[in-house]
Amino acid sequence: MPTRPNPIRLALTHLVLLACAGLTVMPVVLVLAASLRKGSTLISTRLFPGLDELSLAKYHELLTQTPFLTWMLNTVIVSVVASLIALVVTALAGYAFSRFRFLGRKNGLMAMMLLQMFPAAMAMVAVFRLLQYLGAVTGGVLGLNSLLGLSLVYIGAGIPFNTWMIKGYVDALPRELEESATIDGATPTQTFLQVVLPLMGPILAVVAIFNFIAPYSDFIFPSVVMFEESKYTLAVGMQSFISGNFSTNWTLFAAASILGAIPILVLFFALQRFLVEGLTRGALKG
Amino acid sequence: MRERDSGGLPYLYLAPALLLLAFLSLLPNLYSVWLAFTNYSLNHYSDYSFVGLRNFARILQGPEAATFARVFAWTVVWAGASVLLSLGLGLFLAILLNNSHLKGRTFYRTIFILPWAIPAFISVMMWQGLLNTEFGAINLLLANLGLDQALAAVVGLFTKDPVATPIAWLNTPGWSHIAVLAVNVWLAFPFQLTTCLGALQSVPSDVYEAASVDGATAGLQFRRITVPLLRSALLPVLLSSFAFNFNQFAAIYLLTAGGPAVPGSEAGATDILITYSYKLAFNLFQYGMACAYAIFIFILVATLSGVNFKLTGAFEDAN
Repeated sequence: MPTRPNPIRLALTHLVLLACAGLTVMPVVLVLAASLRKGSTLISTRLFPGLDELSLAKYHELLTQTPFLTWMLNTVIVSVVASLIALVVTALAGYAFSRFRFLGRKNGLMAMMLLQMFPAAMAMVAVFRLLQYLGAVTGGVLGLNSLLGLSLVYIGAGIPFNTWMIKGYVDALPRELEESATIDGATPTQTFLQVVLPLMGPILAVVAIFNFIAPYSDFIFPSVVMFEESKYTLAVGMQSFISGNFSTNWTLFAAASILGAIPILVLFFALQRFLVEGLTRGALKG
Repeated sequence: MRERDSGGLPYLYLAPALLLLAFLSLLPNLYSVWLAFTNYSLNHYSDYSFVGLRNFARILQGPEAATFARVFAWTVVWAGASVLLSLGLGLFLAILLNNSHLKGRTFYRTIFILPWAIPAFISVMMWQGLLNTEFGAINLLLANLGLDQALAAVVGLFTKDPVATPIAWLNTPGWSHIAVLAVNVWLAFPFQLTTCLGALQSVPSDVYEAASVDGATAGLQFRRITVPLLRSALLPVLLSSFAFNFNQFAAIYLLTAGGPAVPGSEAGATDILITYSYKLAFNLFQYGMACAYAIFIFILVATLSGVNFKLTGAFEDAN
């Protein structure tokens, strides 16, 4: 806008923004402060520990005396498996929907959009039963309490959205390269693997990260299908820290919060531009 | 577009996705629908049978009707208020930030995006500790600032009973509703801020320049240019956020677990449909009833998505 900056208005804007920024970071700062205390409880009349009270004792306790690292590892395994399988499957499907013309193409795309409307949590009971059944059939490899079984839940839920996203990206890629590859005698599969796949890098990265963050951040499904402490993901494990006994485990929980949030924070801020664009566009598409 | 006869190849490419979808999405969803018409529960665990519409009749006119009406009403209020408040805050901050004379915009945006970048389950559990009645930092902060008595006194004017301090944020009806909403607004405003800022920045600046040349005041420019453009950009976001909050399980379950308890009902004061359905299934083992509740959620979400697809013309993308 071609208006002159009004210094008083600018100062007021800063004042309001700073106040909101303060309220936004406040919970995180309070939890960070709690994680650096020596004691274990919520009970303290001082909000922030004094400099002489600062210590990494809770982080040490968390890593050596609780299953935190196991839960973190479980979470990463579930998320990586879900992400990789989703990536391969939806790259193929997205490409096929974009470049091939075949019977049932349009209906297939519509069906995917309709499946996307089912809220994942609607099938909680059915997923529980399905995994129970799979566990009995596969001798526990894919059933309840299995990390691989939990990964499957996320793959199913994410396929429609990811396929649509990849299809949209491939639609926008120029076709000349593929056409000249075909003229040079490349088979359709060679064209896909050697010409198009390398160009799909950015969208594949976004899909991989979405499908890593979603299982990492989910609470509902691991709480339904994981019963053994050694199979908990971070979400369920951290809840077991605090359920019933928040006041005695508060500082330990605070340390877990900080460590548990770091991987996603790093991913999010490193790829903010791509993710924010993808997520907001995804929301616009419903 | 050149038509290409690809024979069976497309189906080969699609096979893994379709197989996984059929088994991991379609099958569980259909199975859920089927279970909603059965008496599957702890009492009928291995011998459950088809009971027709009995679960739905129980929800709509049986002993559950009052609970359903209360939970449904709160779900709508929860989703509506969450969207409006987070959108309001996000839009307000976006308008402040959309000012090229303002220094430190990147700094502010980085701070404001923080709640989005932390896994929600961690944030919500953090808030649960911070809102703890006796030991939580929020009450400590309010007491240190001398604000707890003042807040209680002001609220006491509107309620008949005096308000006790420290405030039991998560354990009293009313306060717990405010608490879950406040935490959800904290969680959701970064997304709304980002979409609003995107929409605001998509307005070419020469539109405003032309308006200025024609003598339009800043207020008039806002009403005649910004608002109409925002409306078309934000309506789909509004609808999908509303659908999202219908299923915002973690923000309620990890903060209040649906509580505080309501006498004579299995559903607590802050339970929404999805948390109540979860409770029915995994705490009370009434799987059939849980699935019947899930169908209500599906109908609502599907209606919203349908409207949204119409609005955005998403179906046309299938070409």
